Amino acid sequence: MKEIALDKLIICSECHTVHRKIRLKDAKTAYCDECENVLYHRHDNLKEKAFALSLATLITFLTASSFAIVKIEINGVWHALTLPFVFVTLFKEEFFVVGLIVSFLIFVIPMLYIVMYVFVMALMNLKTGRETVRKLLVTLAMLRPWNMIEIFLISILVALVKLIGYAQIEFGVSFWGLIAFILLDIYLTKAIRLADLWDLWDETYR
Amino acid sequence: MKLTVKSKLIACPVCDAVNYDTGAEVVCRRCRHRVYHEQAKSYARSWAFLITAMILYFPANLYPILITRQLSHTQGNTIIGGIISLWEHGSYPIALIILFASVFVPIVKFIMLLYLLIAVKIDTKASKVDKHKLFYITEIIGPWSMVDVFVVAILATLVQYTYVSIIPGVASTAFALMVIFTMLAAHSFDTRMILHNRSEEEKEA
Repeated sequence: MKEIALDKLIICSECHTVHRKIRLKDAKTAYCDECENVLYHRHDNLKEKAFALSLATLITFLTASSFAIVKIEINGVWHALTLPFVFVTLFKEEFFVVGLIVSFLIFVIPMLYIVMYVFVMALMNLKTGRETVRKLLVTLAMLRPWNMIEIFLISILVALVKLIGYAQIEFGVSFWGLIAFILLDIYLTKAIRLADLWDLWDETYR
Repeated sequence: MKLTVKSKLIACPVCDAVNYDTGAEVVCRRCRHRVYHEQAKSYARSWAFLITAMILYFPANLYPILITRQLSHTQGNTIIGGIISLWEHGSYPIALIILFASVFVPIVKFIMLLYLLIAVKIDTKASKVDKHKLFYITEIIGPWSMVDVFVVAILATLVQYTYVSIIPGVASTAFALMVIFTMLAAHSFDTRMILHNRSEEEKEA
């Protein structure tokens, strides 16, 4: 088998069965024969769609990190939770390791991810920077498992349940920003898979 | 269309491109990333990360994860203690989420990884497809055990009052590190070792 022939093959990420790729019509999805896991999609106008969506995701990320996510009140004193400043209290209490881990997982990595995503799509639309895009796409794959923003949202809800009865709780603007960001982020990383972007990369810089 | 292939093929974990398996280091032909290392090395690394994580599991559960300071009175809460008090207050769904995320998920991950690592050396009856699925599940559920650490971080940020404050306990550090190390153990596990096992089974048959 030649190298070109390998391009026509795909291996299921869940059960590692080898399949031959077929050309899909319209916006359809190919599933694995063995375990019915998604193999690949055919998106319409993926280049433009992903660029527009990544910009929207970046905007919602800025909304989610600029204002208070939740505010609580005990005896007339308000305290707010903002995404970039979660580590401040942890550092004040000298929990450097947890502080660093938490702020990386919920702020630094999601931010890097979305900023790099926007760059990738912008460069692909301009059809320049082949090698830069390759490196960025590899980095995106590395960062992906460490983006835990959706788990953070569940944690917010759990924390609020623990506070019910002790404090008055108010949702801030960023709470809704955070939900919008997470929905778009899930769409960008789950519906558009990195492998789809790699196929697009192949097409763009051939 | 499903295919049966004679030559050994593997998918690049970074870009999904299909590559030939040389058995040693593999540099992906599309993304040029060194995607597979020497098998013996990644096997040892996976064990090391897993053992570290398992050791950290003990301080993570024995020490308090959350400390509540109320005037002069200080009270520490372990993970299990937190679940019990949530249950007693009637927050059953939340108690179940925490129980699942902080107690079951780490144990299930340990058992799955132990099984996969041992099954590389000892021939087991389980099919290669099942093992790959098991590995896939381990990767998916891994990050969800971070819930407890995040909850502590959020509570510590919000509850900072003169007469009542919440501070993170020692267990939060141990727990966060434990999750990171189990994830690293899963990431350094070389999925080719499952394939390797299968090809041996086929030779015998």
